[in-house]
Amino acid sequence: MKIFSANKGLRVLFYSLILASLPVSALARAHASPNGKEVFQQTISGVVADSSGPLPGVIISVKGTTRSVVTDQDGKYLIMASNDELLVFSFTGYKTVEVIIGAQSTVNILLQEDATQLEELEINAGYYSVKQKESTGSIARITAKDIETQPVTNVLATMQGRMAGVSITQDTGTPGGAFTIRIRGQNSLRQDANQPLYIIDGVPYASESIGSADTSVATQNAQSPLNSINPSDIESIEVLKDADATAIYGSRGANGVVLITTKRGFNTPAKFSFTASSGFGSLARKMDLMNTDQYLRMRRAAFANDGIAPYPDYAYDVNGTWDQYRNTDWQETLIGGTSEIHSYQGSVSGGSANTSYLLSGSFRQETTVLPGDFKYSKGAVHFNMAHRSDDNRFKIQFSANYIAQNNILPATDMTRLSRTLAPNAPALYNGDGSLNWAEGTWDNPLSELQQDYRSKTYDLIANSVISYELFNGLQAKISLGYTDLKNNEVRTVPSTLYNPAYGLGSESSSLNTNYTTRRSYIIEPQLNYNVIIGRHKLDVLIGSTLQNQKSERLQALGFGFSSNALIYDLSSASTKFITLSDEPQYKYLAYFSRVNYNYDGRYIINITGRRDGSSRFGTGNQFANFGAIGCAWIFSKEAVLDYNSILSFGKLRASYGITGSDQIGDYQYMDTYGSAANQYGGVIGLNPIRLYNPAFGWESNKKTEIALETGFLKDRLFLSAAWYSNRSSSQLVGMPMPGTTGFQSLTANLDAIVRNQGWEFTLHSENIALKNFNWSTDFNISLNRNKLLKYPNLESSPYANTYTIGQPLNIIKLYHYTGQDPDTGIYTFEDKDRDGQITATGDRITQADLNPRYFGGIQNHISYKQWTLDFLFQFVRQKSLKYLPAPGGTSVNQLSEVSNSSWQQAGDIASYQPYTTGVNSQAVTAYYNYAQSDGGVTDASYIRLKNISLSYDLPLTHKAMNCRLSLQGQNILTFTKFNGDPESRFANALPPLKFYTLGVQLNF
Amino acid sequence: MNIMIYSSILRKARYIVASSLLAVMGCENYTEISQPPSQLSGQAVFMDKTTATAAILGIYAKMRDSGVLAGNTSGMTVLSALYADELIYFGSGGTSAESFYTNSLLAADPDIASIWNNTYNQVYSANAALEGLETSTLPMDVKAPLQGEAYFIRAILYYYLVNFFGDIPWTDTTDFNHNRLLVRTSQAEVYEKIIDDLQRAVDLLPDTGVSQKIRPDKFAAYTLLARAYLETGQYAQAQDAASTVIGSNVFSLETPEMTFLKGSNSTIFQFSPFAEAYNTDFGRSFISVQGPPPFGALSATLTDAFPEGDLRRISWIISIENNGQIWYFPFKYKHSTYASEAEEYPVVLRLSECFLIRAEAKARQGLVTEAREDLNMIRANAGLENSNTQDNSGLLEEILKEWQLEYFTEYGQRFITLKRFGLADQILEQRKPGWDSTDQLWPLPQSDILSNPNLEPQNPGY
Repeated sequence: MKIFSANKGLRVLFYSLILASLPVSALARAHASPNGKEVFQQTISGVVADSSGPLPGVIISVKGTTRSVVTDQDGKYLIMASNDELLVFSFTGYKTVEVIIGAQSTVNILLQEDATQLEELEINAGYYSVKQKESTGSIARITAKDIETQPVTNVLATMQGRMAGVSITQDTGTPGGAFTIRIRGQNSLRQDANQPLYIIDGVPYASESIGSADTSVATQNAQSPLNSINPSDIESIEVLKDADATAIYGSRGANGVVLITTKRGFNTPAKFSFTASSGFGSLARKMDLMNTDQYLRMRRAAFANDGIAPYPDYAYDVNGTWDQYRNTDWQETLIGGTSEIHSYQGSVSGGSANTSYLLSGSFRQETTVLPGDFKYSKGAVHFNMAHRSDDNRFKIQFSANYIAQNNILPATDMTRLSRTLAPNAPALYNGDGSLNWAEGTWDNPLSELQQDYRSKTYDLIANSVISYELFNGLQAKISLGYTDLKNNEVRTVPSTLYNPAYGLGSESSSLNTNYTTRRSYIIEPQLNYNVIIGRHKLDVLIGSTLQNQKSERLQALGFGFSSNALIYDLSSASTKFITLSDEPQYKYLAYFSRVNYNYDGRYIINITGRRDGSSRFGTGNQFANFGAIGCAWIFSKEAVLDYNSILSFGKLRASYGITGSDQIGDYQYMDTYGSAANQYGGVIGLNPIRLYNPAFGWESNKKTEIALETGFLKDRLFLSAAWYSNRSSSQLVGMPMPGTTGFQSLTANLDAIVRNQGWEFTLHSENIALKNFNWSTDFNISLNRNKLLKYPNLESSPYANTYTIGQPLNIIKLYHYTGQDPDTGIYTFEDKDRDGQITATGDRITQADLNPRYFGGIQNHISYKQWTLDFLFQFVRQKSLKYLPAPGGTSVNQLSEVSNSSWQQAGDIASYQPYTTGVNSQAVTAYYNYAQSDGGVTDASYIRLKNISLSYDLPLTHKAMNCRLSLQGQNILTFTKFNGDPESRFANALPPLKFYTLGVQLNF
Repeated sequence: MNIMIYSSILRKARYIVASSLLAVMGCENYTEISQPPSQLSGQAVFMDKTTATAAILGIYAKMRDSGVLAGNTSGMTVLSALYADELIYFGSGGTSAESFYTNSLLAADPDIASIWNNTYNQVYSANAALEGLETSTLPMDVKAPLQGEAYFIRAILYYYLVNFFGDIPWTDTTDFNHNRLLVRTSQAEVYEKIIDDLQRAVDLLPDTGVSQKIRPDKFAAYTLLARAYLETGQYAQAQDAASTVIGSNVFSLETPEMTFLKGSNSTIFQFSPFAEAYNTDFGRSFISVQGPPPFGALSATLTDAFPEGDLRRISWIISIENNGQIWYFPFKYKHSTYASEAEEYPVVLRLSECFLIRAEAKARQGLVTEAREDLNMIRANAGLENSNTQDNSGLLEEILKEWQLEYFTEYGQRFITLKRFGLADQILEQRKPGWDSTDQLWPLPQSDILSNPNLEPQNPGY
């Protein structure tokens, strides 16, 4: 074990802090129990009920002590208390009641429901929970109520537009496909290193994609691993954003933390719930492309411009080989189908005074909008059980989620083809139903569907938390987590995929397989101490984390089959290669601590710290320290403002701290050779794997936040505003390297400072709150600005042509478009360096920022008697590059706006340069320069009716039964000037679908 | 309820928590992990004969499948045939291959970047092998041939890079701090270094290589050396190097029908196939069984250039007919699919080249009669009558034509020869509507120009 002395010094300091906190807490406890009062204690009993009957599970505590009990099945309780003490009755969703005991020995209480019970609302902050109003950190939250209205299958989809500072975009409409999430902007230059840390019921869930590039093509190499969580099993999702909330996650908190809590049971009699829904989805937006008439006119003009006559024999579209009048809308034919969605879910939950449980099962199936029999199905079982001892000191909780997914998709996304194929291309089928290859003059797009992708994923996430209250206020806790993921993927490449002109048979068919397992366990012992002395309240937490993750990957390629019917059987392949056999391991170790001091519910200070070690760094660089301080002042509790009739709540909070990131993949610091996938002369070769840099270490991300939270008119109007500034330094990047180094990137710390700074505003308003009519609105908007503050020697770095100091990191550099040449009609650009030519290095220096300027959502919830209507509009203001597939005139279909707008002769005022078949290299170069110029940038802002849900509760005579019908829709309306889908913006990937479902829910 | 159980759990819980906290604190070496089982450290590789050999063979596998020498449709052979006057493009629009065919390449072309990056990755592997072998404790008789192979690999890769990209960044180290700021080395200087590497390879490589010639021997290095001398106008040396190979009597010309079979005696160096059952990517890239072809067909200028009775025209070109139209394809490699055992391997160097190099070198020294003898060796092998041309320029013209007919669609030979003869503009201008004289060089990939400004200026025209 080699540790540098500086590192050792820090460790010693940290241990002494942890050890020192133990006796201090014991001392504090001695002061905690007020002397002499126990003498007068008596037994108090009673029944707690609400308007509909007895309430089990209500917590009754004696104020200022840790004595507490819970009501039983019949709402009854027994507690010891003295006559001058105060009993506190609390239950989530109800107004808390405090009663002075006095002479009475029976206290019966009727609790009142509390619609805006923000004060008592406890939110999950990971290792601890905190009352929302007393939180010193920035935490956004959605609950099952928001999730239920959305007919979606990925947890990230449920968060879209609902959380300030959280930008989520769906990359593809293919089932199971990936989402992009950015919490407060892009921190890291490496696209794949901006993932937040996901914690499911206390267990970190690795978000690295499990697919292999060889097997999963359809979904852009990325099956979202978060499909392994079933949205309907989720109770709440909390997103931790600032340093105060994330620093306790230390090295993994830089990009924010997403905490997912699954549903659990309550101590109620057994409740059953059953939900079934069905619906259909289709393409939300199509591109407006040329028809055959427009297309052929363009092609003929292009050949005329290029002086090529007669038409060459390979120009099948114009030379008469293909029907000149046939017109196919390929988007309609290839991606314009209807996807069917069916979903079923059943659950039972309940419990006794000490034990509660929930068991649910669900199944969902989606087909695709593509021609052919493709579908995605997912089955899930969720179980949760909790038990506590009579004296409430011992608690155990267990939860398990098991999900099986089966995805059968074509290996190719048909979207690009549907947009580039000539509209007069031949029919898909011959008269006899076979694929039409038109004598080899085209690659029939349906042949692509013959290569399919099949993925089976099985995922278990289990967690157990055991806690015991050792003494009053001192709780020992251990959290154990286990995840087990198995993924089995295959992709077939049958010979029928190829144009028959190649004359290939099943001996050329091939099969790629990928079998991945990933197991991890985590152990987190913790000690938690809390004490209240008068107006002082102290919470102390110390703990540690041990995590071990091991993956096994086995990828193989087989080819040469005796028949295409055997293509799924690897053993039938005449030649087989193991292309990858690997067992990467990741180990992680941490100690963490939190101290929270609260004075009178007015002044709160929260200090968190963590020391982290990760196997992803080389010896000497493995450990680092992180920490944060957060403070809050609840000024509405000051005497001046107390009982103010307008301002009901006011809090000012600030935080500062350091977090980090280790998302660089395993083993990157090692200088290694690995087996080549390909053999040579019967020997498996060895290849260098990467550029060797042993010296990289942790990156750090310093976060500052100041926020104001205010509630007006008994919190019917609740406003919050937050300003934040995150500075990341020594970023871990895959530094782009010129190919001459042998590789295209190098893992290294970037010697630069990058700032993400922005504002977030949220508003919650109870517009109308009447007995039968309720209307509330939630609004959020986020503005983030990214800036490169410092970069020594930028000029001689590989980023010299990518970044500018003082500008955002993810700017793109563009040519400056200066209109069309009056003599040739060809696009012209400003020659910035006046060297007489247009070059990327000298002239591509105009900057454009394609980051969203702002984004947000506005959500309304309206209920009238049995009717409930929810709808969410999501909005984004952003720019994007235009869809420019290939120079106009080549055999690629174009947007219809390109038609009739091309330059023909001097003096023309045209929006498009002269068509060319591709031989006019001046025009071709100008076209691609245009695509990388400010002329090619367009507004891609949009407002989207992301979600709408209308439900109706059937008026049933049976009180205990409830039946709800609901109609839900996703991505229903989009308002944008952008040609294409403004959310995904990838012209070559299937955009997000719009869908409707109709469902029925039965509770009894 | 059950106080006994809880107190026992309590004791256990205390123990678990306390011991886990302590256990965790004591072991910060928990996060030290060993190497993954599938990988070896860079140092260890070259300390063992088997793994050091595997590191060299790994480079050949990469050269066969990617970069300048790859036989697939994104490899230099196919793309340069489209780029020059050999292949007509029939594939779909908007592809990289189409822009090679129309001579409207962009610096951002994905195939250019992939050829460049893959080739430099192979150069890196060769440099890493040379560095590893330098410090290796392996005995000299094990080390020397491996070093010779690494020098040969580096030389052949730079040879193609310099021919297509002009002044290229040259490096002999794996140090990324050096390699990321490379400046371009002039073509003449790159050739000096190629010749230097090949001379070392000649010294280090064995006289007789392995069976099937899937690893280069001394004569492979001599063949490449002859080429490099010819390109740099050192004709006497080119003549000598070619003579060494021809005079070795290890190789002999085969009939065109036999030339590309894996056991061919004219082969000097060939790649081992991708799999035992796999023939060549060339077969797969070029052959169509029906027309019109899905990718490309031979141009009429090439098929018409063959004289009547040329055996190569009969054996190396296949045609298909449909509705009265006829298309021609390269048929040097006759298998496009998997077989139980491959019959053809991709041939990198073969004897014909030595005769043509020697003929050209002699002609350029004014040795017309001797030059004609070498030329006639090739003509006779193709079933053609001997040439009787007496004047030097006429003979050079015939040599140029023989290069075209003998080496069509083989590793860019046509394009390289046209440039060496200084005729690229004159000939391609007539045959390619998109040809400009700046098209003689391909662009350096834009990604490299952007990440290493020292590579500026870009080749003209891009």
